[in-house]
Amino acid sequence: MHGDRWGPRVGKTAFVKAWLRQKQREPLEAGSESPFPYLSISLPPQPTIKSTLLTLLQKAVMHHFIPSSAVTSSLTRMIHQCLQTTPVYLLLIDQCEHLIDRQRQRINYQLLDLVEYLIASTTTSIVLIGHAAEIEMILQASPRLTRRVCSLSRLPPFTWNRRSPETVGEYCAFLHAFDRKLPFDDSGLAEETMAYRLFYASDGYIGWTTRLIQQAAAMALEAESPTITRFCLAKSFESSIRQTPLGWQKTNPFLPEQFKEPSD
Amino acid sequence: MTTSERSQQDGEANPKQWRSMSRDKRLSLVQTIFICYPRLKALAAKLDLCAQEADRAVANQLYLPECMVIAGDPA
Repeated sequence: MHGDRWGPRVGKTAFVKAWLRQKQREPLEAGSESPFPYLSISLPPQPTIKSTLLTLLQKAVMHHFIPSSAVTSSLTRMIHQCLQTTPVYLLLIDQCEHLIDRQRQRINYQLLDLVEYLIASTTTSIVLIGHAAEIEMILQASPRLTRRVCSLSRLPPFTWNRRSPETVGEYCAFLHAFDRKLPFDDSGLAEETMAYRLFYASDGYIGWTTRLIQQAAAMALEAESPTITRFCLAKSFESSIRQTPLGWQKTNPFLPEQFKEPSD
Repeated sequence: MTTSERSQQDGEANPKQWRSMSRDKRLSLVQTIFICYPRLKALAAKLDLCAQEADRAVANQLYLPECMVIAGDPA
């Protein structure tokens, strides 16, 4: 499962993976013999400095043997040397919320120091990806890092506000694009009544919307249905969302014939 | 150019021709759908810019590349 203990959310990880796939497809500059100049790692829960350095090194030097018995200082030297000799434009660090011990609300300063060190001593740009609240804590704890951040982009979930019709339009356009990519006949996902059901079920989180539709599509395949039916979506809601905090106390929006958004 | 023409030009299967596909192929298509909606396009442009800046820094060691944060809103 991508995402964290609450499941997928706004789709940051999926976005970064898609961006990297796109970069891999782009032809290298003529005459360039450089390896792929982007590195990405995803921090596991409670990461240690050594495990992070080993992961980074394994990604950076791929086929070289890295002794797991190496001490942190020599691993740090190795990664520093590697980033200086091999041009790595971007180092993308996903799941940065794991730089903070959630239970103790304590920052992993050893890892934060490593990030600061890499920023200060190499020409690599670092992209931190994570939950807004934890990222804010990290930036507050590291003025050095904050000074180097040129762009802080927030990726909120979709909203549905009739007083701002563009919000409804944006979600419907997303669903329309999704429907067009599905190997089924048009399932009408972007029709407003259906779109609202999907919005209600997922709270506008792209990750949940995607999971809901993908599971419903698998069920429609099993049932040999030419479209993704409301019944498939209802079953998908029960299996993918019902047992999560997102589904608690929610009506299954795909079951009633008439499921309407509340009027103002 | 239509979506179908673009898909064929890109060497990708046209999802609307699903009747000629195996179930496994269709399932794999479903599982790899990614929609780059306008907000993500803007974000991708920022990442591209950040990469270009870093490229400049590789050429000129005195130039410090800038960093970027992508934060998702909590539920």
